[in-house]
Amino acid sequence: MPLDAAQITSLAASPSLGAVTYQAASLLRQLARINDQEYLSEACQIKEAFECIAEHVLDQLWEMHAPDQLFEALDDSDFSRTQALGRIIHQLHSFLRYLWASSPRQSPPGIQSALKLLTKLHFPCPNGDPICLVRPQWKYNLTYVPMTAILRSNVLLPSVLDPNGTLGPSDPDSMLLELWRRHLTDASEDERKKLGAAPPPHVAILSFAGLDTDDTLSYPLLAHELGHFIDLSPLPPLSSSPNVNNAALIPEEEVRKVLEQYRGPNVPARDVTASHKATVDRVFVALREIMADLLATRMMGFGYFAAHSEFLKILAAWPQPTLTPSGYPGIKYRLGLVLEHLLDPDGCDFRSFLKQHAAASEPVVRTIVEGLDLYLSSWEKRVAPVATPSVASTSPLGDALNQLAVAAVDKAHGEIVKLAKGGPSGTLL
Amino acid sequence: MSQTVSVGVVGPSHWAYMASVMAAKLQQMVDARRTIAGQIPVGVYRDAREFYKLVLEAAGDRTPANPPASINAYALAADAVRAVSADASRADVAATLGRQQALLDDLEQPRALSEEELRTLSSLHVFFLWLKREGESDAYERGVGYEVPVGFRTR
Repeated sequence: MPLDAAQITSLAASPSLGAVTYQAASLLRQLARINDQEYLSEACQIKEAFECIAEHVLDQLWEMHAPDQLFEALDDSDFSRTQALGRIIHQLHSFLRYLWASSPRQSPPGIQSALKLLTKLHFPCPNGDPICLVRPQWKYNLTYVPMTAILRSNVLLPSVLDPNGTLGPSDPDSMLLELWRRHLTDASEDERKKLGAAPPPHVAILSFAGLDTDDTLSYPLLAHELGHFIDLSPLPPLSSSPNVNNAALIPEEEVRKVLEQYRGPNVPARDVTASHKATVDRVFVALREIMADLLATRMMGFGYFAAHSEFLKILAAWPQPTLTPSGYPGIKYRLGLVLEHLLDPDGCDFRSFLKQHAAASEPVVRTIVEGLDLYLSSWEKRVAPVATPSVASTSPLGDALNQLAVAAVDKAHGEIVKLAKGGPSGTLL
Repeated sequence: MSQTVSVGVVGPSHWAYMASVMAAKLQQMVDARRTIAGQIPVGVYRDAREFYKLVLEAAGDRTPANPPASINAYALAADAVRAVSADASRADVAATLGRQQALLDDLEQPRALSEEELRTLSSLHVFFLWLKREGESDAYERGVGYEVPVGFRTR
């Protein structure tokens, strides 16, 4: 039967509910291919969490689907919701790459086992065991993906997944728990036992540079990514605990003063807010990186410093400012902080460890100790602060804002070190 | 050596659906000149209040619980307020958002609205319309995801 004019108009205007429904079904098929024959148990557990959300999205799409009104215009609410549910499906689908890459064919099981052990040793888990999945990535870098936090803030949206509150308490964690229960309704007793009564409470993906897959000396770098995972495990994260926030926060007024100093009076309020946001972002990016570096140093000791310095030396020379525009600490600054903590008598106190072996009876041990001591001394000289920058800046305003961020990071640094050493309850590392 | 996202820092597309429903429901209330109980779906209402809570944490002088997330939300909300009055100072923005939040929290109490409340309701409606538009634009930007070529100077 041919469509009438109104139906054709609606067909042209509305997003296709059918297309998004097809995508949700397709995602579920792809998730079903992640099985315990080919993938690690960690990947399978994460897959179950994705699956229970995707099943709910598919149910919601079916509920919106009216077979007798296939060509009616969607109302404003259904129009937007179709798009929002589509975005959730697209995000979940993009996460499949983490699961696929974790397959033992791509990611050596030895790395996964080592990280599992390290996590078990150091991760504070008052709310349940953490799951971290290790995978190689194409880009020459290492990455931490805070999967639980991403699910909470980007996927488990009460307004989109449960606008009418039918899932019960509408906070992301409660919603996921309810979806998990529904997902397991038809599961066998064995399967339910294996998967547990609740979804995994802490999930992270730790990526390493695929090019270094067989370079065991690079593995300590993954401790930095695990450091991010530990940092973000409590709410609020360690690097955003109240004392850190109070020390690090820059009032908007201070940013306005800097802008007026360089641009004259009457800087638009909108510009002040935008610069303030960018400066605060930069500070907290730096604090998170410093926290992850310190935790990694405490977990891996000298091995982390050696791997870290070798990794960074290959990437670039050291002309960066203390903080780069994105907030990442410059190479010299971050290596300086790691070395300082490694040698700090109240930190890792690595020199005391060396001293214990300096008078060892075996000459080979004495030679190694002397060599390491010399290596560390030359690094101390290398990372010592230099008084003046060697290249003139092209952006005095950018430099002034950067200085504001550096000062805030300096103020919070002591708190970060304190937290890295013991955590608020003295239970960390 | 990188973390892909700052926890809790989300773009306007995150709020697009909530803003779209809120704008539609607030239009109905503006037309009726009164608040109507049960009009806004509970999940949508929760997200709307959550958004204002996050925003107002950064609007005052106190330190927010999650500064990057709150300041990010505040910057978005301040843009929405300044889309209507471009010169609004930080104090003006805080006052406007505070009034809007008070009315938002009270929307479930059915009653006729005073002229002043109607003005606030209209501004809240405009606010969510703006957020919806920004959210949809952001969703598109993220979808097409322009990737900066290697070696390209970005600043």
